[in-house]
Parts: sequence; C-alpha cells; structure tokens
Amino acid sequence: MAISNRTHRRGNEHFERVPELGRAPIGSEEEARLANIWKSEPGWRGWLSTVDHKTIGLRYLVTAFIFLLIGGIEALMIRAQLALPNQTLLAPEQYNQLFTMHGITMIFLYALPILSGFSNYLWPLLLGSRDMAFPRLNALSYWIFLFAGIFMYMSFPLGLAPNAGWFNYVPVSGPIYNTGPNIDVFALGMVLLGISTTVGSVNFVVTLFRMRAPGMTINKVPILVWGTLAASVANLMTIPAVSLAFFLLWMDRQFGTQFFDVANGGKPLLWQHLFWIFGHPWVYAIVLPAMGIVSDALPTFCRRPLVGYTAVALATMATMLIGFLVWMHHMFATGLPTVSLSLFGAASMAISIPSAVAVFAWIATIWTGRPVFQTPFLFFAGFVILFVIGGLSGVMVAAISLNWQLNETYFVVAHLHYVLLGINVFPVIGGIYYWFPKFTGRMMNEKLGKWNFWVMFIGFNLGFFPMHIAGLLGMPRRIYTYSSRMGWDSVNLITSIGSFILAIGILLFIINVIISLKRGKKASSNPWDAATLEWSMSSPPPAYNFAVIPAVASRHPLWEDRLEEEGARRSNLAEGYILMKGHETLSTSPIDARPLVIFKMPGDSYTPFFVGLLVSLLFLGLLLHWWIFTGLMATASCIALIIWMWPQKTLAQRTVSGTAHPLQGDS
Amino acid sequence: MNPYKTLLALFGAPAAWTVQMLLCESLTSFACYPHQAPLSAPQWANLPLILMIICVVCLSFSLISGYVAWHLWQQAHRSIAEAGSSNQAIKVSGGQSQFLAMLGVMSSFIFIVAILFTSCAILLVPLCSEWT
Repeated sequence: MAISNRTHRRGNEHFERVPELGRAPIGSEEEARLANIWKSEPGWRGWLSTVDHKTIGLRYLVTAFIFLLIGGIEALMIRAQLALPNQTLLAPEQYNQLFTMHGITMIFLYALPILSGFSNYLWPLLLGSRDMAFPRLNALSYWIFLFAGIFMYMSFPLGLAPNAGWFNYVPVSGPIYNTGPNIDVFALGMVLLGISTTVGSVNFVVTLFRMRAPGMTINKVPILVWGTLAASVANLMTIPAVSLAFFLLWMDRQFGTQFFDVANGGKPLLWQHLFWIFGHPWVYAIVLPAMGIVSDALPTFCRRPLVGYTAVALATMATMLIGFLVWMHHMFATGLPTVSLSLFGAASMAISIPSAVAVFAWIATIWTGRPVFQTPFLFFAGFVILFVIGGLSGVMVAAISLNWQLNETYFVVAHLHYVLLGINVFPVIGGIYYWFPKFTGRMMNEKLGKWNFWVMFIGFNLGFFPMHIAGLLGMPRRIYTYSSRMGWDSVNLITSIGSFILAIGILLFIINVIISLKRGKKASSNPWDAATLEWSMSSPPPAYNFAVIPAVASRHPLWEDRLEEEGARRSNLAEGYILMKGHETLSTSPIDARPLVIFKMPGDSYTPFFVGLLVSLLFLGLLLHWWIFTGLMATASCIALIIWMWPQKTLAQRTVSGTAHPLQGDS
Repeated sequence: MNPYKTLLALFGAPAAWTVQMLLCESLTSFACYPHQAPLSAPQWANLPLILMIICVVCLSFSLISGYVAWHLWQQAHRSIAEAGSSNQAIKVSGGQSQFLAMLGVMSSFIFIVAILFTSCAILLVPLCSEWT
C-alpha cells in the first residue's frame, strides 16, 4: 500500500523523514532507548509534571471513584432519613444540600470523569499510538477536573453547599430565594468544570482522527472509541450552553442582571432550555462510552466478535444525534405549546430505535457465542438487563400524558437511576475487573468478584425497583420526610435496605481491589485471550506503549489466526515503524489511516498543573469578589499559557515519505 | 468514493431531521405563544401549509440522501464482485468504503423514520390546542 504525502509543502524538505522499519523486542537496545525516552521523572516532580495518558487515565479513575464513594455516602444518608416516616435525622436544609450534592457529584464529578479515565488510559493502546494527540491538554483536563471538584465541595463543610437540585432551576436558585453563596459555588464550579470537559473532548476527537495505527481504517476502531467520540462531540456542542446559563445566573446573582428574573422581563424557562440543551446530551455522554466498554469487552467472554459492529457503531452516533433534540421532554409540564410536546415526544420515542439495535447486538453476541461466566461477563450481562428496564421506563415517560402523571415523582428517580447507575456503574465496575490486569499487572479475585456482582445486582434492584412503585403511589421526589398515612412506608424501607446492600457490594469491590493489588495473581499480557491491541503488550504496559508502531489489518488483531480467511492480510505487531528520536508517534489520515506525519510529542511539563491551578484560583477570586487577586490570577494564567505554547523547533512535525506499509501478507 | 456523496449519505438525513425539528418547533411555538399569553389559533393563517412544505422538503432531502447512500453501497458491493471475493476487495480498500456506505444507508433509514415520526406529530396534533 502506497503512502500518501498530503502534508508536503515546497520548502519543507528538511522536515521530511523516512521512518525506519524494524523490530524492537523486549530487552533489545532499541527498546531500552525507548523506555528511557518515555519514562517520567521519579518523585513529586514526575507526579506533578507527567503527561503520560496511562497515569492521567488512572488518576481520573481513582479520583472519579472517590467522588462515587462521596456521592454514595450522601445517598446512604438520604436513604437513612427516608427509611421510615417522620424521621428527623436530617433537617430540611441539610437534606436539600445532600440530595443536590449527591446529584452533582454522581452526574458531573463521577459519571463522565470515570469514563474519561477509561478512554484516556485505553485509547492510545486501542488505536496503536504512543499517546493522545495533545498530552499536555490531557493533563490540564485532569487538573482542572480535580480542582473543580474540590471547588464545588468547598462550601460543603460550612453547611453552604448548593441546595437547589442538580438542575438548579430558577427562581429557587436565583438571588431572591437563595441568598447565600451556595449557588455561586455551583455556578462557577460548573463553568470551571466545563473547561476541563471541553479540552478533554477536543483531545479525544483529534486523537481518533489523527492517531490511529496504519491500516486501522475508520471501520476498524473499537466501539468504545465511537462511544467516546459521540460523547466528546456532544460535549463540544452543548457545554457552551450550560456554561452560559451558569454564567448568566451568576451575573443575575452578583450584578443584578435580570436574565432569569420574571418580574423584570427575564425568562425562567430560558434557564431550563439552556440547561437541558446540555443536560440531555450529557446523559448520553455518560452512557455511550459505558456502552462502548460492554461492546468491546463482552465479545471476549462470548468467544466471538460483536454481532453487528456497523449497526452498533451507527446506533452509538445516531443515539447521540437524536439526543441533541429531545431536551424538551424534561419540560413537558412547563406549559409549552402542544405541538412542541408532540415533536419532542416523537423524537424521544425514536431514540429507542438505535438503543434497541445495541441491545439486540449484545443479546445476539451472547446467544451465538460461547459465554464464559467470569466476573466481567456477569457485570456486562447484568448491565443489559438494567438497560432494558431503564429503557422501557424511558419510553413510558416519553409519552406526554403519562409524563404529566409521573412528573416529579419517584418513578422518574427510579428511571434515572436505572439509566445512569445501571448503564454506567455496572459497565464501569465490569470494565475495571476486565482491564485491572492491564492497569496493574495483577488479576482480581474471581470468587470475591462474583459475590461482588450478585450483592450489587440484588441491592441495586431491591433499592431502585420499588422507587417505580413509590412514584406510582404518588410520592414526590426531593421531600425530606413523609407521613406514615401516605402508604409509602414499605417501599421506602425496602429501597433503603436495597441501597445499603448495594453499598455493601461496592465495599466488596473496594476490598477486592485492595487485596488484588497486594496479592492478586500475576497477569500475563493477555489473560482473557482478548482480541484488541491493548492485550498485545505487557501488563502493565511500558511507558512508550508500542515499541514499534503496529500495522493493523482487522478489528480483532489478536484473533486473526482463528477468524480470518487463509491468505488474508494479517496485522503486524512485531515489525513496524521505529520512531525514537524523542517523543515520537505516527499520525495517520482520518478515514484511511495512511501514515502522514511523524508527530513530535511534547514531554512532561509543569505548565498544565500551573495553568489548572491558576485558572481555578481565578474562579476562587470571582467567588470571593477578590477582584485584584482575580486580575493577578488571570495575568499569571496567561503567562503560564505563553510558556506552555512557546514554539519549539524540535517539536515541528516531520512529513513521512517513501516507505511501505508493513502489513503481513502484502506482496 | 466521492467524499461529497459520502458526506451527503452520512449526514443528509440527520441534517434534514434537525432542520425539520428546529424550524417546526420555532415556528409553531412562536405562532401559538408569541408574547405573554397563549393564543387559541396560530397568528399566521397559512402556518399549516408552511409546516407541511417543511416536512415534504425535509423528507425529500432525506430520501435523496438515502438514495445516494444506497447507490454508494451498491457501488461498493459491485467493486467486491468485480474483485472476485470480498476478501480481495477489502485487501485493496481496507473495507472503509463499504463501511461508510452501509453507515449512510442505516443513518438515512433511521432519520427518515424520525422525519416521519415528526411529520405525524405536526400533522395529527391540532396547532395551539389544549392537550386533551
């Protein structure tokens, strides 16, 4: 296969280079040199400055999981309060802050960041690259996420946490009804978090289209990549809306503007539109990559490729596309014109088509495969069941008449927990069981894992299914207590018992992680006999990922011997481009994955940490009205960015020319 | 494979549905609720005709996009047949042409269905009515 040379320009000849082909087996001189080039500095210097996608991915996973635990403890406190009628464990204001922080933590600080953790760690390994397209941006994304999380929890110990629910409707979140700093912390924290999500999304989009291994044409990328791409595009389109909404609200609260003040011509519904234009695609952003985890890992335990790869890839993108135009189904009870309701009701029902395509593909994969009932498989199969239950209740609330009946009841709480927890947490825990050997070099305990699954699955259903009934019995969401005469006692007690069993399941998972980290069985490079590229390297992977850039011929490079026809081309993982003049990797064309240029990747740097810190301090200044401090932080952030962006001749990319594509079977 | 045709096949129907949704939603909302109070009938008498035209144009565009996708898929299919076996054809192209054409066919199908759903909602629900 010839190599196109689309970036060639006259006068750029000294930036042209013929990358050498070769091998770099473990222990060879080349491999040692690569390890030396890509290693991070030890100690705190390396800790602050690393831009290695694997380290950043693990940091995302650990940080987001800590937020899951914090959000979970808040949920347990809420369930303890609601377990019996007329309880007084929590005061109403404490309850408001707890359910708000529970929502914010789970939805914004856990659900997407944990998936960013998987994608950051796995993308370059799945795509055959040595790093993400923008390693420093990647580090910046993590640091700002961490600081935004701390920022949003800053007022919690003072009893001044956000308290108007995670969708923060005006006028209750406006300056008249909410006079403390509670909402300002949330508003500024969300704008700050939006920066992290935006830069992370840019990185994912560019990485997919420029960083794939040669031969990995667009039809060969794993579904996790499609899922994260869909989520990233959605984030790029919708985060401006929510950042604007929170900024306008902050202006209303601090400077007397009246964007949402109905008494002065403002529009409270504007808040709902701006929030849900973001909020609904965000719901898909936090489930599509998780669905991708299942689509990629489930086939390993069914001993066959995913059924309907093309249909699932399309279903992923179509779900996201339709997801952009269903936001008004969150506003059916606001008095919108009838036709608007019908339009958005129809679109909300149409979204079940691509979702069903994915479900049937998973079921067909299990049905036609030879399932191996190991812990990750149990989590993925459990996820399919929860997805169907959550999806069905979703179609129910898409029907306008029923939506009006169930609006603001526990039925909606049940639906969103089946969708968000069932479709996110189960694939995430299953994914950690699956990739734990790659992350750490050790296997997780299988017996404890199965206990972990069954306790979580039973606890989850015991906890959340009765919420449907509570909703049908008319129990409104967000009430801090209820009278025993309402007939909600039993369902609430069962729900609370279920939530504590679910928490025990999570505890078993943590125990398993700790035990396995210390005493887990050593993992080989491919302990599950999986098909994708990340399993071709040692566990855990070396700093440089691939000693030679692999050439990929199929979607399942490690299963080609058993799946591909005789005479078909094979992926070549042992021999390929050796790039070792600094931090180098190969960039390829967006559709055909033909080698185009050699990317000179930047090395470790403190600047992402400092830019993240300074920008966060800038937001702190805004919150506290320290205007001089804010100005200083803005100036310092600009200086740090200039240092970061200062052009370096050594980082100029090299045009690839004049070599052949080293697939096996080429003649 | 012609990149413009591929883009049309992939994104034509989704774009048509997006335009249909946004135009119909904006027009009906403003016609029924122009200021502070809802109206019992749209403020423009020919609104139903305008909406119907929008639906027909968007449906036609999505059908054209579907036809182009189908044509591209057949073209890719023919290239496989001419190459002798699918394996050989994939060896030449990597399979991305067939994949993109199939994506276009499926994308057009889903969004043609979505346009029909939306059209039903517009044509069957009385404009500016109370929900009954």
